[in-house]
Amino acid sequence: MRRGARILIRAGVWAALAVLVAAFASGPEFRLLPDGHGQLTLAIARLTDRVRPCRQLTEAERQALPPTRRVREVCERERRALFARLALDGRVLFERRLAPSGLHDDGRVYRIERWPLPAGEYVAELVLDAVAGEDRVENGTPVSRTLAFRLEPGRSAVIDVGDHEVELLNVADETRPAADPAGRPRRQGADET
Amino acid sequence: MSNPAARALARFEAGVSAGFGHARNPFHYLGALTIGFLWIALVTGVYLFVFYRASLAGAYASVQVLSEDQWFAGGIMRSVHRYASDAALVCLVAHLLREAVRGRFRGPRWFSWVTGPPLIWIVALFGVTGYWMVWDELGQYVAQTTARLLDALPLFSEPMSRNFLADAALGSRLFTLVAFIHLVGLPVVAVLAIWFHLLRVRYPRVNPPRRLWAGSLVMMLALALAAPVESHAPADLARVPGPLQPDWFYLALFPLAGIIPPAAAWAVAAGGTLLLAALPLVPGGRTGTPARVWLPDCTGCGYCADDCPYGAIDMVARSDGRNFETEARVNPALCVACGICAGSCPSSSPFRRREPLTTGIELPERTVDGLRTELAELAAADCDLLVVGCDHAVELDRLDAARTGSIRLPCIGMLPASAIDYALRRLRFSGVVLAGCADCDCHHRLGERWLAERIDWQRPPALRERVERERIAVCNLKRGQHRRLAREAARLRRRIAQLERNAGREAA
Repeated sequence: MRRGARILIRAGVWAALAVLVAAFASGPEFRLLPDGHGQLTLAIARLTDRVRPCRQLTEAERQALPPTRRVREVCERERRALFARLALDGRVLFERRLAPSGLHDDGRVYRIERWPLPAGEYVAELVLDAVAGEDRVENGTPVSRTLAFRLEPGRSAVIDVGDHEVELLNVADETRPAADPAGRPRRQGADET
Repeated sequence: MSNPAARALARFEAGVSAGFGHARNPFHYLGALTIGFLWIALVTGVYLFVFYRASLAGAYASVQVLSEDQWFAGGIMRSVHRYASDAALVCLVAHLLREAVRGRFRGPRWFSWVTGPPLIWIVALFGVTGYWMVWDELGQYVAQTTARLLDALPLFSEPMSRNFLADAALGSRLFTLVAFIHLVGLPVVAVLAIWFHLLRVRYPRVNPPRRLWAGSLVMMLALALAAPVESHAPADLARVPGPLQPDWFYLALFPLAGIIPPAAAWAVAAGGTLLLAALPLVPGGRTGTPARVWLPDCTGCGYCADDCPYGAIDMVARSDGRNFETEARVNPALCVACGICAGSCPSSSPFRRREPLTTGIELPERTVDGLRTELAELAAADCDLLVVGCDHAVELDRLDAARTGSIRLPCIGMLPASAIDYALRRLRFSGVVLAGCADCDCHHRLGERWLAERIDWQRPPALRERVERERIAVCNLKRGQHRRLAREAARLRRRIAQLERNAGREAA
């Protein structure tokens, strides 16, 4: 084969590899959300109450223990499940009983859910309630929060449920007066009611 | 190699060989090219790391400084780093597909096959951690999706995704960890995995030829200059990243995790890997009876053990009381009956007068005695040109030339060099054409190389000096190249005719 043809084949092979690499190294384009949509995330990391309350040891019980293990109270590890319901503008997005993590159901309840939403103003109602077993049994500290927020296109609003508070992250909670004059998205802490 | 896909592949590769030559055909070095591209990625990565700041605030800015303020060095390095990583994955997948199409996963090759798919995971992890480190919108997407995927596994007590809810939740330590994994952890694991992959491959080719090295580098540089890599907008956890221009080589499965549950995405990826790894269990691919050692002819020279591509022969202490230290012992589990050991045995000489001819080590189904008989039959049939081929190379049955006899062996490496001498001197063939697998693409990896080295006096047992090398044509070709074989045979005939005319003149 002629030298020119050989060079052409070599160049062709290298060019084919280069084109293949270049074509898929940065594209084709991919969108996570449709145009005009944002995302709402419900992130729960909440330590629920124990299934049975801690019990104070009697003096006799303490004396029966080795000296280095004479604690004042003993607590069983198992914690209650958490009932969570999130409604957006009256429409229920999420309603589920969530089990605690851990082999002995002794950890926090963790859950992260995401929904793409059209941009706009929303009112979210969050209800959290500890449950024991299959039957919902209120433990006396149910949480009910109403959050109003404006979701802009491409924005990621997060309802972050912690141990003691519910926060709206990355967007402003419009049920509360603006605290940041610069207009930046703020971390909005809220006492539970 | 009888399936249509393998034949089509051979034809395509023959076209590529027309430009590169068989010995430098990039398709013969896909594994070595993968390692070569990883080397390029490693060297450029070391340069990039010098300027990289592993922190939430510094990661994106430091990469931008590399790309913009020193585009002539850091920018090109970054682009070459990215493209070399992509090319490594392309070559790795092409290597895997090529071996699968050619059925090179059966028998003793199962180990190399099974240890291959994990390498895809390791290389993919390089990509995932590398994109994360840039901490642009694509890095954010990779980090968030990786976290979602990891959360589906029982690995962490607290979901990793909680780190990516808002910027305030993210710490710089995570970047230090990812940088450590990318720069230290994964390279160490990759080296170990490659070593493991090649553990049962004797004389592995881990470096491509220099010209392929040069071609790779030039291609990478040209690509880096023509399409320099750019970052997306900086990561902002308050926003959903997008639109993205992902690297589909590394991130092709990531969108899947947004469509199906992460656990299902893991099932797809793990199931695919397991299916690949299970290919050796597919029935088929007949392997002949393993080689047999004939102790009366074995002197314990060890040539067969040196030459066996599969490491199927061990030299062990002598068991028959003869005055030799060792004898060959075949491990039937590793032997694929290629016959290369018979070609390397000094006693496989057809000149020996013993009837039937025995040799130190040979295939029970394809003996050296049988080879000698076949040669004699061809000579008696008035053939003056001998073509020796193999089961996996160019088709000899499509060679249509007068007075040309052909013999097919399991591998061209099975042909003892002395058999060439025997055919030319004793049986009066005028020339011998050796038509094994294309250079550097022997089905049994080393057969054509060993025979060439024996002819060139580089490997024992070598072809005797008295044999006129002009009467031998080494014509290693792929399937479908029978016309070229015919041309080469005709050319050898002309050369021999010229030789004989010259000899006649000298005699006169």
